[in-house]
Order: sequence, then structure tokens, then C-alpha cells
Amino acid sequence: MVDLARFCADFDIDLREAQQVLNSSTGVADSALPWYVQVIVGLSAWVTAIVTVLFGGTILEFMGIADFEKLPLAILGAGFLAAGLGLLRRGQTGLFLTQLAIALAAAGNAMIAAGIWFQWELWPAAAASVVIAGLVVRTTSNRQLQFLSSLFAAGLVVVWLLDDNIAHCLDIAAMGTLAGALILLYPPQKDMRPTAVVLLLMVPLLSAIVDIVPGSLEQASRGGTIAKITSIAIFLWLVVLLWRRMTTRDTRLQLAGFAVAATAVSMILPAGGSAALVIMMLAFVLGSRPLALLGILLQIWSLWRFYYDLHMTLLDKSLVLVAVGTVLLGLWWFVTRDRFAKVQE
Amino acid sequence: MPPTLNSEHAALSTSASAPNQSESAANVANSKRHAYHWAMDASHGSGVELPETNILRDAGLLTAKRYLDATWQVRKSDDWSTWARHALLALGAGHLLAGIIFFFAYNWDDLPVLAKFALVEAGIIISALSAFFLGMDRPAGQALLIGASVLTGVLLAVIGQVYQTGADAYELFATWVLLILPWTLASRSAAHWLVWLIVTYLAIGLYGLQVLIPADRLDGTELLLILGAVSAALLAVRELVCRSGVPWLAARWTRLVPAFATLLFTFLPAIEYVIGEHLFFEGEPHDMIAFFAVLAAAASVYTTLQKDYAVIALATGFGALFLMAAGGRLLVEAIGFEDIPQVLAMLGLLAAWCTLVTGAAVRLLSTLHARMGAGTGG
Repeated sequence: MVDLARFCADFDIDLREAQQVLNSSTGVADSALPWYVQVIVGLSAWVTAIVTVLFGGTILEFMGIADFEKLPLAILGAGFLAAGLGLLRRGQTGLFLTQLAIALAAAGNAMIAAGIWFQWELWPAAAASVVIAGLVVRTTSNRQLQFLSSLFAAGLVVVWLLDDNIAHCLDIAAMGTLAGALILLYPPQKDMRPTAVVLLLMVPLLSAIVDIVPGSLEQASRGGTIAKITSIAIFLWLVVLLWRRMTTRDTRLQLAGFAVAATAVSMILPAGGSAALVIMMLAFVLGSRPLALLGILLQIWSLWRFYYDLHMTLLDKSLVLVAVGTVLLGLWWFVTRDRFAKVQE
Repeated sequence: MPPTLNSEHAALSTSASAPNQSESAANVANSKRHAYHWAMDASHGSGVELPETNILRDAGLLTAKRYLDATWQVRKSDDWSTWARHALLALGAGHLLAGIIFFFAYNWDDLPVLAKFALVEAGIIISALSAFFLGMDRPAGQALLIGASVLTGVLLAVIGQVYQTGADAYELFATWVLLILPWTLASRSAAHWLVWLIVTYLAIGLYGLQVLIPADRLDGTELLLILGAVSAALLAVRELVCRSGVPWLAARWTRLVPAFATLLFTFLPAIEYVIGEHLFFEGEPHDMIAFFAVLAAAASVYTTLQKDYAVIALATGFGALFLMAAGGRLLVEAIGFEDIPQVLAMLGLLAAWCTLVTGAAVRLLSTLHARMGAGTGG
């Protein structure tokens, strides 16, 4: 852990101001609770919100609005969204009210999109969700709601790409990886890290939706070359960032080995696997444990889904995996060989 | 150039001694020096990691241009180097193994019987011998032993497939549990024990589903309760072993996983009793009593004997969900669910009840957090 005073001196930050900011961000008792407590309380708040949404739906039914699954649903959703955002903007809200507000706003978001989709088409619903995600980023600083609304918007955009059979949808989704990496490495002052994570997840999200809806993606319209180039470019960019910070010849040599291996792996692996590796590499560069965990889980999932990929034979898949495994193990040997030598001595 | 882990003296002396420094820059340096000494007096021990860096960036105190330099300065380089090496090893081994499995899946039907056995057995022998030579207390050796354990299950499946033994699946899993137990004991690896535990759960679960339930000697909720009891027993063993000073089992997750399993396996029957197919005042009350007993045991053990806030938080969460479900069932029984006014009243009251329960849970957890601290455990 780096001392705050030293950190402030190194980065030209006023120490008193920094302490004030840090103290105010951890001063609220509820926000100081560990993450798992927030998950537990969040779960309870979400149950409450679901009951509240059902309550709202029953009111519509009671009012005799027979066709409430269309535009009235979107209007009711707008009410929930406004209520949720209003609660969040109150400032020092307790943990329960915060979670309730998140759940209400998220439910409102989904109701608006569903209403628009049923009334008109999918693309206006996706566009509305993107606008709502932007609104959430702009009006609140709540990271959970930002993640949910961004994820919902990204999900609808991906479904629209697939549903309308938009050409090169994989390549379009890969632009999300690039945007997410940019936001994480050079974050704007408004905290957009949750949105960045969602953007990084767009390629895996597309792969997941393809799994759920078999035949939803034509091989010809899929694209993928630009997605691979994007992955390689991000890897090399991260290598350059690391290179500047490495001072010894050995570490630079290891990095060069990594660059070669990462390029090879990205060329061989399908886009979902490469996206997971990019996330793991970003985790390493930023020193972020949550990103590391996400990358590992995505990698396991991408291996799992690769088995069911119908675009390759099992033999081809096995060759791809053996090649990737060999490259990665070779790299592992390369970066640990000095350590082995020392142990043997 | 990114900053290295230079001391405040270097930073300050640089700014103070530069010949072309303007007066305002010198003032900034002075102010920084004063601020540094003030901080050392006022808040020694305050440190910066990635979350604090993010907070400072969000507050606009750290520029986007220097954010990456800042993250590089606060990261624990040694930890991340170790993580990178482990990740590379795991990814490489994982992909290679997956590739081999895919290859056999592709050729499986065409392979002669002997080749099938030879391949899997060769995998087991190579893994076990390599683990022995590499050292079973080292990560690579432990990973190899886990691989050998998994391949043992594959071998049993091949035996069943080739010879059509007619054995039930639970027999395969039970044999698997027994065969890999020596390796699990030898590896002294918590991850290996987790694999063994999963296979054990599957063996017990399948024995219940394939033998005891069809023979009417058990029902589904009782099976869940047995799994809960097994988890509780494992948790108790873990606590006793840790108290006798076994370092490799001391990781906190080795407590949290069986604790979560115990709570989940007793929560599900209790919930079924309350909102399932049974009528509210019929069915088996012991389903609910077992859950309450587990909650009480967790509360007494982990607030006094072995303080662990995370286990208490888990128990509180399950308790809150149970109370919500019980409230819902009571409201349905009391008000009804037949016409819209009834539904409106029921849902309105249920929303209020859920709010009340969650509010109480938050208060309880906040109070306990203040008393125990989140870091308690071990």
C-alpha cells in the first residue's frame, strides 16, 4: 500500500483535499459495509422492488387498461425510472433505499424498452435503452445502476444486431472492447467503469445470445477479422504501456515474448476467448482483482461454449486448443525459467 | 516517464532545486511539503490502493493522463507477477487439457477399447508421477494431482461405457470419491479438497435420487437436509483441523463454501415447507426447524467462538429471505389472491413487509459490522 502523502506528492494532488474526498467516500456507514453484505441486502431490496412492480402492474389492471403491455407499460416504466433516479439523487440514502431505487430504476428501464419494442420495433427500444443508460451515467453516480442499465442497453443492441442480421456484427461488438479498454485506461472524470466493463463484455454477450438462439447468426454475416485485429491491437497497446514501465532487460524480454504469444493466441482463438484474455491483460495492467476474476470466469465459459460451437469440427477445435495451450505453456516456461534455475541452484 | 516508487524527498527536492523553477512552482512544493508533514502527524498509516485511486480520479484530483501511472504506482507488483505466472500456467494447462479432451471426444467412437483405457490410464500415471517428482506441496504438483483425480472419474466412466456394467451413476461417483481420497490427503491442497467435496456431494445426491427416494425411504427435502448435515459436519471438521494449526486449510473460502452449502441446503426445504406444495399448517415442520437450528448455531459459533462476520452476513441474508417468503404466505392465507382488490392489498402489504425485513437486516448487519469488523475470520 502506497502512503497517501507520497502518492499526493508524486501526482501533484493537494493532500488535504485528497483526504477530505477519501474520508467523505467512506464515511457513510452503509457504504463501508463489505461487498457481500451489499449483495445480500441488494437481493432483499430486489425482491421488494419486484413486488412493487407487480403492485404497479396490478394497479394498471385494476384501472382497466387492457392493453397495458404496450405504450402504457412504457409510461409506467418511466414512472418507476423517475422514482428510482429521484431516490438516488437525494444524496445520503441508506443502503436499503439505494438498492430499492436501483431495482425500481432498472425495472422501469426494462418496462420502457419492452413497451417500445411491443408498440413499434426492436431498434427504437435498443436506442431508447442506450439513451436511458446515458441518462443514468449523467444523473447519478450509482455504479450498480450504471452497470445494469448499460448491460441492458448492450444486450438489446446485440439482440438487434442479430435480429436484423446486421453484417459484421462481431466486428461491431469488438469496437465495444476497444471503447471499454480506453475508458478503463484513461477514465473520464465521471465514473464510467461499469459501462466500460459492459463494453468489454459485448463480444461474449453476442456469443452467449447466439448460444441461446441457435441459428440466429449466419456465418457469412458474422465477420470476425476486424475483431481479431482489434484484440491484437489492444494486446500490443497494453504491451507498449507496460514496456514503458519495465526497466530491466529481462522483464522487457518477457514482455516481448508475451507480445508474440498474445498475437498468436488472438489469431487462433475465437473472438470470445480473445475478449476474455484482453480482460485478464487489462486486469494485470490496472492491478484490478475484479477484472481478473471476470476474465478467468469468461475464459472458462468461452472454453465451455467452444465445445458446442457448430462452425468447427471437434478435431479443428482440439487442434486450436492444443496450439493455444502449447503457446501459453511455452510463455509460462519462458517467464519462469529463471525462477526454476534459482530453485534448482 | 511514469514515476517510479520514489520517495517524497526525491519529489520535493527535484521541485525545489530545479534552476528554472518558477515561484509558483516553489510555492506548490512548499505547500506539498507542509501537507506531507501534516498528514504524517494527522493520519499515519493512511494508504492508497486502486479503489482510492479511482475515488481520487472521480473527484477530479487525478488527471486522466496520469491515472495509469497512478495505478502502476499503487499496484502490488510482486502479487501481480505471481498472479500472471499462475494465470499463464492455468490457462496453458487448461487449454491443452481441453484440447486433448476435445480430441478424444472427436475420435471416441472410433478408438479401440484398449486405446481408450491406455490413453486415460497413461494420463493418470503421467500426472501422478509428475506430481510426485515436482513436489506435491507445490502448485504445479497439486494441479497435476487434481488432474489425475479428474481423470480417475473419466476412467470409471469409460469402464462403465465399455463393459455396460449396469451400475448406477452413484456407484461411479462413490468409487471415485474413495479412489481419489489418498491423493486428496497427500496434496494438502484446499482446491483439491473442493474437487473431492463436489464429487462427494454428487455421490450422496445421486444415491438419494437413484436409491433412497425411489424406495420411499427418503423424500427430496430430506435429501437436501442430509446434504446440509454433511456440509455442517465438514465445516465442523474444518474448524477443528484449523484450530490444530493446519495452514493450507486456513483460507477463508474453505469456511465460507461449506457454510454457504449448509445454509442453502437447509434453506431450500424450509422455503418449500412455507411456500411449496404443502399447506401451511401441514407438512413437515422439521424442515423449518432444521433451518432455524442452523441459523442459531451459525449465530452462536461465529459471533463468539470463531468470529466471522461473513458467515453471519450469509445467515442474516438467508434468514431475511425466509421471513419475506413466510410473510408472503401468511398474507396470501389471510387476505386471499382471488380478485384484484385482494391482490392489491396483499402486494401492498407484502412490499411493506419486505421493506421492513430488509431494513431490519441492514440495521442488524451494520451493528454487527461495527462490533465485529468485516475482517474477522480465519
